[in-house]
Amino acid sequence: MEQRAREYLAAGRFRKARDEIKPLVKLDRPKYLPLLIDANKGLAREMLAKGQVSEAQQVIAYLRTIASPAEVRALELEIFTKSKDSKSAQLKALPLLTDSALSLSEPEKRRLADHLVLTFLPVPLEGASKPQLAAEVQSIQAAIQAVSNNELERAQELIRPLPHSSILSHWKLFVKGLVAFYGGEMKRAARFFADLPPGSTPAKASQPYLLLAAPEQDKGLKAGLGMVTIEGAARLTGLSGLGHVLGRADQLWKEARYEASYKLVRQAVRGFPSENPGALGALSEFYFKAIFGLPRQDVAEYARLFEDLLFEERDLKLIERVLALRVFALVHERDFPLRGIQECWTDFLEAHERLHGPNPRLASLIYARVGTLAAAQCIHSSFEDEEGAGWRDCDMAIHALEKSVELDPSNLDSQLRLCGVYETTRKSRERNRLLDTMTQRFPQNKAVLVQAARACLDRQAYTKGLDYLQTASEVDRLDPAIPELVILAKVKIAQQDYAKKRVEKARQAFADLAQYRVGDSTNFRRAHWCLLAQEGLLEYLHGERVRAGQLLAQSRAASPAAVHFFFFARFAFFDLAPADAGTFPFAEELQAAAKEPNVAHAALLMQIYNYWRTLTDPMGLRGAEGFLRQYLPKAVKHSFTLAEARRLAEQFRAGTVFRKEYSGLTKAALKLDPKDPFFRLSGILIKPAPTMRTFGNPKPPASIPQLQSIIEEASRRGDEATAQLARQCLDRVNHPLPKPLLEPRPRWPEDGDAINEPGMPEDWMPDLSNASEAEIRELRNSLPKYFPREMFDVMLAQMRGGKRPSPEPSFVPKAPRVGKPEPPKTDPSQLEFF
Amino acid sequence: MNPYLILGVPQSADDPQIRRAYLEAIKQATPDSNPQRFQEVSQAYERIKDEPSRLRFYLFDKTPAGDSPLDAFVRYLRAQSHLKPLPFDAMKEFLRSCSKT
Repeated sequence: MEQRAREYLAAGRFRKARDEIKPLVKLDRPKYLPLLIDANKGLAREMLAKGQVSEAQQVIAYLRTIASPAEVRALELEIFTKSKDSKSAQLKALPLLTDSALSLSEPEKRRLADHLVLTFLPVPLEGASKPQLAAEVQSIQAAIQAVSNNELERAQELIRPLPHSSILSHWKLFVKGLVAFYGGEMKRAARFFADLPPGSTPAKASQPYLLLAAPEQDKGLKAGLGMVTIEGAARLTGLSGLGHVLGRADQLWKEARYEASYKLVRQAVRGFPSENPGALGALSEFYFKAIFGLPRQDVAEYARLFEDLLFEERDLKLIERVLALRVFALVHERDFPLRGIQECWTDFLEAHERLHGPNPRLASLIYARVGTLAAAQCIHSSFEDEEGAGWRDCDMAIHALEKSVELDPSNLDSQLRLCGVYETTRKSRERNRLLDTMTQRFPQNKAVLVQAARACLDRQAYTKGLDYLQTASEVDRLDPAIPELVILAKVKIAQQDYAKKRVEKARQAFADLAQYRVGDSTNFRRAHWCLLAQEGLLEYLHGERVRAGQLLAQSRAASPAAVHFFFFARFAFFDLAPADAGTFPFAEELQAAAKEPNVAHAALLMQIYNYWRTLTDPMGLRGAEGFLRQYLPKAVKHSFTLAEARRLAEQFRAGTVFRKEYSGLTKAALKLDPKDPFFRLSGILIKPAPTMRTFGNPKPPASIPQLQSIIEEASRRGDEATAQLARQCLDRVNHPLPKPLLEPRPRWPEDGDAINEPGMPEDWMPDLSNASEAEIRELRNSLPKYFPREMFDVMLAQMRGGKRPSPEPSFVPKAPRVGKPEPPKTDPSQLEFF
Repeated sequence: MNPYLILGVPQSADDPQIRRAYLEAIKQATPDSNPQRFQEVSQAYERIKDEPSRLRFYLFDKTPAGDSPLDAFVRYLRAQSHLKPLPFDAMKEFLRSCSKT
């Protein structure tokens, strides 16, 4: 029985221990009475901790009959502190602390001293058995008050006389910490707080300060902080009571119950959400930006919260509406039809204006965002003829960007982007007009000047273009784009001079270009051999044949290989020769130079082709493409290294019309190394897009495990570029961009294009041709508000040959949201922009 | 992290105020003495240095303010360069609440 009683005591089960000891005391009182006292003291403390004060008083009353008065005093004091009777507590605590007959432990003494300080009552010095202690208590209390009044020096003065041996020395340390903290000496404050005796009131009170003063406390933050610390931190900002809510909200968040966490704060904290600076603003910022840092699998669930707030919450505050609309638009900007996103931003603007008044600059930025999204290009596949042109919504891009410029004429980004869209859509007149305005608005802006110069070169206003370039080079002498455009302009001017028989002037123009030459033979604009080739061809066409021969021979000698020289010259000939000049005069030499094809040469030929592709009329490319189609398969048949093959493949990735040749190279390379991650990835990229996951189709495509395997292999080999590309592809497979949903968008014909419109609904819609009306209604209902319903109807009608869904009967319950794609993490500003 | 907190300026701060805070911050953390802080401060300044940048940040910024509500709250508190001491009554109440736990 004794052993059991001691076990209960050790385990803190005081009531059980007391019941076991009582019979033992009857048997041997002197031996077992101390155990009974311990059990009762423990029980009384337990009750006090639970707030059962009256029950504890009964136990203490019993203790008075069996224990000495000194043993009961500490408990009595606790009773007083719990009953908030500060005066009584003080009267009790002082004699206890000064009674030398009592052998109190250090923690017990500190506890009593803490109670004494916390009464915050003046301690009577007269008649006190230890006036020094009374004076020390008063000093501490006054020092704390001085800190509160921001009288930091006075606080220090007040605690200075306290000796290290004082029972209140831990309070002295605490006050020193407070003084350092509010004096901005965080490290010093952290040192003082860290030295406080654990369990004491100052140690507990220092926790919030320590949290702020010592960032290394982050470990504690992650492990979970005590409510006192959180509440203390909240109090420091004057938000008393927030700590409890914040602790619970934090716990819910960490359990991935995001919506519950938000709703708890929303319900419990008045003034939330807020855009104002301050703790509530910081908390609001957290909840309205956290979605962009959540694990992918949690994004859709949290996004639904904002959807519910916007469309189902009747008492939505205007500020909450503004913040939720912003999140909604940003989260869905890649997976919603643009029209829906535009509508969402329009609602945002309307709500924002009601809240803060009109702000044309802000509106301009939003229209620029919509315009940029509309102009963004799908990078679903590396072959832009499959997806890119089909995805662009040029009309919307132009409309939004024009609106953006109209709202804020100082918005340079919008104007540059609008310029790019005009260029892509071949609206030269609009582009030139805009550029004229821009050069007046931003006369010293390099980007504007370069754009204006380009436009001048396009419309053959070379001298004006050179003027712009001259100003641009004064703004930035190091930008390589400027000398490249200068060369382009000067070659064209030389071409005009040759044509007008001003041969000497033309030759002088080429001589002037010497200052721009570079040693890199693959810089086809500035390499010496390329300039020589162009001058030689112009001389051949308009000047002296002998000189032409010399120049072309020099060019050939300086070129990487004869085949490259003739291939480059072929392009340059069609670029520089008059329309009636006939065929390329060195076609036979080109064929002869191509008799020993290899992959290394093929890579450079493709590079030349890609260079001219951006400069030459599509008609001029056809012959070159025919030449390459013959050359490339032969090159692949000869031995090559994987590095050479990769250089060639990288040139294919920028092209559009060599799928078959790329495929042949990939197969040949995989024979050399079947596990090569780059070519395995190429194998996937070459395949047409339907292998990818499409909007509304939950079935994952087969390429996902392949891509994951490629990423692993590339990482193992240290091929980070391939791993990165594969990750992008995987991301795109998981989060495809929607294709245009309504009318077919304008698509600019390219050479060899078949006349078919990409992006028709059957490409991406789930097969609804045999779906029941109920299934169709369910899908239609599941579309979020900002997804335009009429688009869905038109797509469905197209798919079903003109049959529209019947009107929704009133008894059909609202269908659960299904198949909503997760938002991607890509920032649209990082998308390729024409 | 929020650039306003990094530079220690209110969200209502204007261009000169932000510039002053930036110059003061890079004086404290030069590229040699504290390159990481210097980079952080410079990036923060770029994000809010003029009105269009600030509007862009307000509209399109996607940087989470922390890992959890408490983390965001503590980050905010830490960025406050001059927290005012608690009033005496609030301090007394706070200390007493600590003694009861």
